[in-house]
Amino acid sequence: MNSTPPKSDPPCPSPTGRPDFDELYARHSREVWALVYARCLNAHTAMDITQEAFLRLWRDWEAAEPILNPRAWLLRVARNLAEDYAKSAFRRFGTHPPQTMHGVQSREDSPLERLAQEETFGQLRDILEEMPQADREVLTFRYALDYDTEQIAQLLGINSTAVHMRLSRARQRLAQRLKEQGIGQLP
Amino acid sequence: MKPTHHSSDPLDGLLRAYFRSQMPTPWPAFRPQRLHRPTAPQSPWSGYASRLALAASVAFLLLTGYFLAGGSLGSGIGPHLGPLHEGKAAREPLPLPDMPGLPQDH
Repeated sequence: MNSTPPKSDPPCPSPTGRPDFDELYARHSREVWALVYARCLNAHTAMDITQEAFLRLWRDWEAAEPILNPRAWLLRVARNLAEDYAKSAFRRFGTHPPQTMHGVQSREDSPLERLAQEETFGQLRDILEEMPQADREVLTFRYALDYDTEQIAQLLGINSTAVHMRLSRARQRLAQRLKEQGIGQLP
Repeated sequence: MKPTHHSSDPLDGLLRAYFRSQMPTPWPAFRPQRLHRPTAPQSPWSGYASRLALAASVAFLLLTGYFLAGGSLGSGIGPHLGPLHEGKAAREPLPLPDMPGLPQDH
């Protein structure tokens, strides 16, 4: 998949003075999804929250609320929604959310390969769940969206060195844990 | 923007495969129709009609209660008709008043 690269520049305004909403969605929806996914590790929940964040942006625009930086606004709202969801999920399920095959999606055609990959991905997801949220964020932006260090730094509002350190630390931790679990043959 | 770096590290491959598998494909479009939830069309009188019906019901209830209470407590709170309507006196003819030019009956 060729993910849309990050855009720090604001979208082109429409004749009405507002950026085109579809363009805004195309530019930033993956970033919002990745941010939420790094927190909840559930693709469907992340998409629901992404849609909700854009829906709120839409409503605010309909109400003529001035939003100078839609990207920052979306990321902040999505972060808050994800935290609210995590609190409600904790109230409902405690520390162990309901899982179906570790909540991992897979699109392999062969059932055997799919099972093997789901198993590996499930273990990987468990390890990710144990990791600090900040590490998961850089991993998600790095590997889901192919963002480089500077892009992640700009998105998260931290410096590039910190991103590099987090990425390096997260990869080391992952490699060690995967080795402990006997997942030596990586694809 | 820096060019995307794809390393041949197996860990990178695993992580990339994992995160890519999690991303919805195709990427869903924004669904603004959630804004327009289907609702029954409401006439401007619908609110008034329901309130009017409620007011009429309450009024009917109050009037019914009033008349029922008046009927059961008639001797206490109704108009007092006096002794003419009670016992023997009620059956005797009323005495005519003295009027000049009219023959007296006794």
